[in-house]
Amino acid sequence: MKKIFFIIAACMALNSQAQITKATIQASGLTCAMCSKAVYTALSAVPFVEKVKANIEESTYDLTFKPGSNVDFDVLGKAVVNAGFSVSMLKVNTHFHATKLQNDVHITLDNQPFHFINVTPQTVDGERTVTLVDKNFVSVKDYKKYGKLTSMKCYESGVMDGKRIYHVTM
Amino acid sequence: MCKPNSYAVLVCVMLFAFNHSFAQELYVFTEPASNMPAHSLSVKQTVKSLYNKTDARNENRYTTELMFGLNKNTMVHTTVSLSDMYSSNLHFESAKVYAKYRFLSNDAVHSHFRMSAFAEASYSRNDPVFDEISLDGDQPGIQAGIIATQLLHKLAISSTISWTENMQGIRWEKSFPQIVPYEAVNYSLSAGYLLFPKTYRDYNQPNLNVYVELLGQRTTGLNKYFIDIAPAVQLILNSTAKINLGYRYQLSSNMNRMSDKSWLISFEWLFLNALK
Repeated sequence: MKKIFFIIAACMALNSQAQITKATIQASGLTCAMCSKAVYTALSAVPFVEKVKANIEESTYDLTFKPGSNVDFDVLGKAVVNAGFSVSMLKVNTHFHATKLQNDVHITLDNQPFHFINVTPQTVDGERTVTLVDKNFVSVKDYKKYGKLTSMKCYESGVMDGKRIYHVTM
Repeated sequence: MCKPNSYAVLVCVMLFAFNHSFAQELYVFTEPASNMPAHSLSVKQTVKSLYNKTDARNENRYTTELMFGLNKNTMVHTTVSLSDMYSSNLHFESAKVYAKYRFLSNDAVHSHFRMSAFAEASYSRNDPVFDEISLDGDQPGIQAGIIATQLLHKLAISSTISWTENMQGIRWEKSFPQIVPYEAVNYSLSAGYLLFPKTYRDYNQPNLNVYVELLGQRTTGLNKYFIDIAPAVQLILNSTAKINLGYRYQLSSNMNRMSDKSWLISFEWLFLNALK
């Protein structure tokens, strides 16, 4: 009996439903408004982005995603990089539905595998913000720091069994 | 007699004086190590005006430049110029192609260190007259170099070093004595500073930037040199269009030059995603 409950709980944890509605991305390597506008224009052109609100002083962009669309963080990162800059931060607003969070376990949210690092094991419900810690979404220093907090090889490559894994913390 | 040390001190003092502000690095007389956004197009129209002491009159060069952002690391420029600097009437003078490849980019919030390599090749119909080697219309030739740019939260500094070859036909005429230099090292040190706005609210605010650039050349073979200083102001409208106004004048030189000072005004438009 215990075994059955464990399997059900594990399946629930691994295949939770969630909804990614908003995010804040910060671009690095720029100060001027003209550079900021290039990033703003690039993010606005991303198909699943509905609205972009730029804070030029902070170099941050509040993104609202089109409901029901597939949010691809790599596409957001590529938009910033193609504009000529780098991503220093990506924080994503996610709705959790009784999701069990653990470190070093691949949890699927919105059909996308997430690997949580440096989180307190807990069950999460409601809207929470997760921060991407993948390579090219944080500074080199932070990438090395998070690399030490996980022993799994997927952090370096961003891939496991041919599927893209996003590494996040909270 | 070249006295670079006192001028380097002057530039350093000016750089430290700009310590409490944001800075720009969209230089007027040189290129930064940064690239244009991928798939963007920029169009620039420049007028250079000077008093040519040999011809004893005011002369102008009109330059039209197209800049293509091929990808995040590579950009290509094509340029044509018309002038009356080497002729009695204004006519087509030169064409040039320039490519820049950004090979290093370390970014942090409001700062970066970048390096690029560039190369250019120009055709010019002008006769050899002056000692100064320039591929901006004066001579045909080739040039290659490295650019390093540091953007700090409050300051932007850029430096370029390059090698230039003057490919005028007279170079290959062994029966003529050498009257102009054929090869030179070019170097520059530039700084930029944002005067307005003090706080960014939106993309429609006009930006006013000031620049000061040190531009130098030293030729080999015939040992000639110059070092110029070029202050400039730049107005950016709608975060899209730039108006530049610069004045370049000689600090020290032993060259026979067309002029020891010149004015430059240019207009540049950026079209994002124009090449997509």
